[in-house]
Amino acid sequence: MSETGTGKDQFLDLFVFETNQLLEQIEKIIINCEKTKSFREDDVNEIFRFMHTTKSSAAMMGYLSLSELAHSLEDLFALLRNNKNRSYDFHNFFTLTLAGVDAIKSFVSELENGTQPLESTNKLKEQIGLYIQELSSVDRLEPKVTKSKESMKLDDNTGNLPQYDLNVFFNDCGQSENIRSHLLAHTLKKYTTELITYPKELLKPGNSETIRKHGLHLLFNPSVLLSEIEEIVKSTVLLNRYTLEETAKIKDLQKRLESTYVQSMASLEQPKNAGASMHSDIMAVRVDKMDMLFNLVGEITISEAMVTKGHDLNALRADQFRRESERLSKLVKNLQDIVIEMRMVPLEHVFQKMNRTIISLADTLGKEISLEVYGETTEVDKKITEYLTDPLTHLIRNAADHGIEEKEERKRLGKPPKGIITLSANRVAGEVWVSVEDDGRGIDLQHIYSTAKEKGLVTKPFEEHSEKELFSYLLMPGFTTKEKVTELSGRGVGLDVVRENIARISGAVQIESKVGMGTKITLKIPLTLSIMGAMQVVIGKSVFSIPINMMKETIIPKDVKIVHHIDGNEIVMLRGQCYPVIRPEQQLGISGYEAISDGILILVEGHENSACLFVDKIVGQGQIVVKPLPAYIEKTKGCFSSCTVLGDGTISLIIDIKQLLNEF
Amino acid sequence: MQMSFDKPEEIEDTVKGKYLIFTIQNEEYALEIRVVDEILEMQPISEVPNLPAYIKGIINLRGDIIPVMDLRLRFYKEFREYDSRTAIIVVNIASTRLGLVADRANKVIFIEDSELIKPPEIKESDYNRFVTAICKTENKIKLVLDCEKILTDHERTELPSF
Repeated sequence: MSETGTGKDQFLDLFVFETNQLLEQIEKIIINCEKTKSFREDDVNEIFRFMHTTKSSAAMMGYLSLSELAHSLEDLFALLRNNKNRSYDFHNFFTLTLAGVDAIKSFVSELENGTQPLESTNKLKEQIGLYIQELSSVDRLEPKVTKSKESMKLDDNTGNLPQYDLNVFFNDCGQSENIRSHLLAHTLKKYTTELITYPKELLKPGNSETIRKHGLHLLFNPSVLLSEIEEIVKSTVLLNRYTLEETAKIKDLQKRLESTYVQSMASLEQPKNAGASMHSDIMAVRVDKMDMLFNLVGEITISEAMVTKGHDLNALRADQFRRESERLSKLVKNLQDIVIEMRMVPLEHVFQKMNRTIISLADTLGKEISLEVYGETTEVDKKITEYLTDPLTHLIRNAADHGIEEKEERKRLGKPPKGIITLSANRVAGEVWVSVEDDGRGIDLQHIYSTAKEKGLVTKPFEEHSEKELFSYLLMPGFTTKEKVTELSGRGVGLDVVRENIARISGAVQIESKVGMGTKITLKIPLTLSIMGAMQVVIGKSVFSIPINMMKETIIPKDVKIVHHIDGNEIVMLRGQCYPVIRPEQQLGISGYEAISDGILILVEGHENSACLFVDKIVGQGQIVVKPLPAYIEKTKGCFSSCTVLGDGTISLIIDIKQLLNEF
Repeated sequence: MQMSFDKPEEIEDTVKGKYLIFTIQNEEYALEIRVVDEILEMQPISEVPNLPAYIKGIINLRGDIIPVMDLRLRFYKEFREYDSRTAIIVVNIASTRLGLVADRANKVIFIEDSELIKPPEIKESDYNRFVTAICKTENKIKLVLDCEKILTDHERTELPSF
């Protein structure tokens, strides 16, 4: 029944949702601006529009201080908009804008959490107001000419111009010239500064053609010996030829290149427009509606299978029926695929947040760090993205804090002064691998061992550990190798919480590292939580499902030795290892076969321990749709937290292996 | 000539006063229609281990997994094998859906508030706490049940049932 309260809630929901959407887009723009250290005309307009919209909707909702803040930012950008030829100090503008957007963001998230937002935006408003006054009072006749768009891009931190032009041609790579170029540029980045490529957006597929025609141009200043750079270029795969020239007339060269690569410039503008039209291509749908749709489609799939594959028809010819039911089957399969796709969202949203994190991190730590992102279009189930944000944030914090060295140290080590953290995602089989890689210090295995020893965690000498085992110490609670706990990380709770969060979505954490070179931590997570591979087994009268990712192997009892303990427990000896046997009567409350020799043993593996589950027989295997058990019977769930509906309409309980091993 | 107008309150709530009558062990019970979603034929129930005996298991209702409670067992009566006329009454209380097994689902009748009588204060027997009122219509006594109590009350007084 609707009470008067829900009316306001609806508006609040909408306000929060829309403002968050806009905030995401604005953040993207701001981050780009930070990279190029300039506000392009489009950016200014976009930011102005955003502030304007926020001002009005905040006022409508009664959030006056938020509205006023947006208003002052709107004024700030109005100034920019109306005085296009003025020069301005990018840094001030950027800092104020960023502070403003942050304030709006935290205001909105307070609203989301249902807490009263702090009305403390006055100081910021004042600052902005003062700045605007300052700017407006300066004489309009300032002759300083704004740096043109092009020259803005030339400048970077050191303000130098690249002195060398490398022109590379590849052998026929069958359309992958852009990727080859990208790899080369990526490699060279580590050994150069002021690196500019033509075409600019290497990964755009259309550019392969351009690169084939004009080759790839790389303008740079080397930070190592030129001969070393040549060596790298020479060892590039599928290299056809290259020229490397020192050039003084950089500006002329650039003008020439810009017009040659006109195509790439056009493609640079395209994303902006694509972005604009994206606004209307996206629809917001309530999650519960999606869940209902998902449920129903699952039911249709089962129902269709039961109708079309029913035994009643075996004897009849019913040709047309069979033809039409095949068509129906295909349609239903399509429908199911689409519904699954609908729940997938690109990781872009999660990665966006990381971009933002890096900027403030680098600032706080006083280090120079750039974040490179790959594979942000990779999609995962929406529910999973919610579990990824915190772990990723922590990993990036770790990389920035512990991994990347201070500027001076990097210089001493011959590394480029700007540390690089690479965030990437890609699909591997039924999983998504998201990794955070840095080119920093790397992890010292000896150091891990000694810290673990101090905490009494080791059970064998250093030499007997595999690399994997040593790294796994890092994932234990309370572990930290940093001497001083910094505000950001180093409290030792981080990696353990990461591991647990990832384990909760049935994923895993992998650590790779080389001292002096860097560290790479990979999160391996399933594509979707609602569908997984499972094996169906019979115990007693019912069919149960066991998730395949928890299963190591199936064992026929007569192939192994079974030892009976005095206390009644049974143990299986397999290839020199001992595994306890789990009897379903004791642990699950279901009775099946008595003698182990009549049934099958399934070796299941948890994080810390493994065991053999004894079942009657295996009856099937395949992809299943996971449904949670009703909350009403939650208290008595035990080792069953979810179920699935099998192809014949019966319900099969899914055995929670983790819980089972915990309780054992 | 008397013109009877429907009183405004009655038009508003078309389910008010309507009760579903069902039978368990020759006694008739009543449940407000308001909480009843639908009535199903008996169908195979999937067992879930470690549940109280009166929860027989779960069923799949068009994609929704619903627990099923046997009212006979819930009321500490003798269990009766299910047959083709045994009904599962799907109720919905505070977003919790639950199926209740009854011997027969009979009909829907209208009971005036004035016809409802508070149950006699007999010794706190096992299932009296589920009964909110008694009504006598058509010469038969019907026990009106408190559905929420049936769902949430898990205390068991160790008394022999009458």
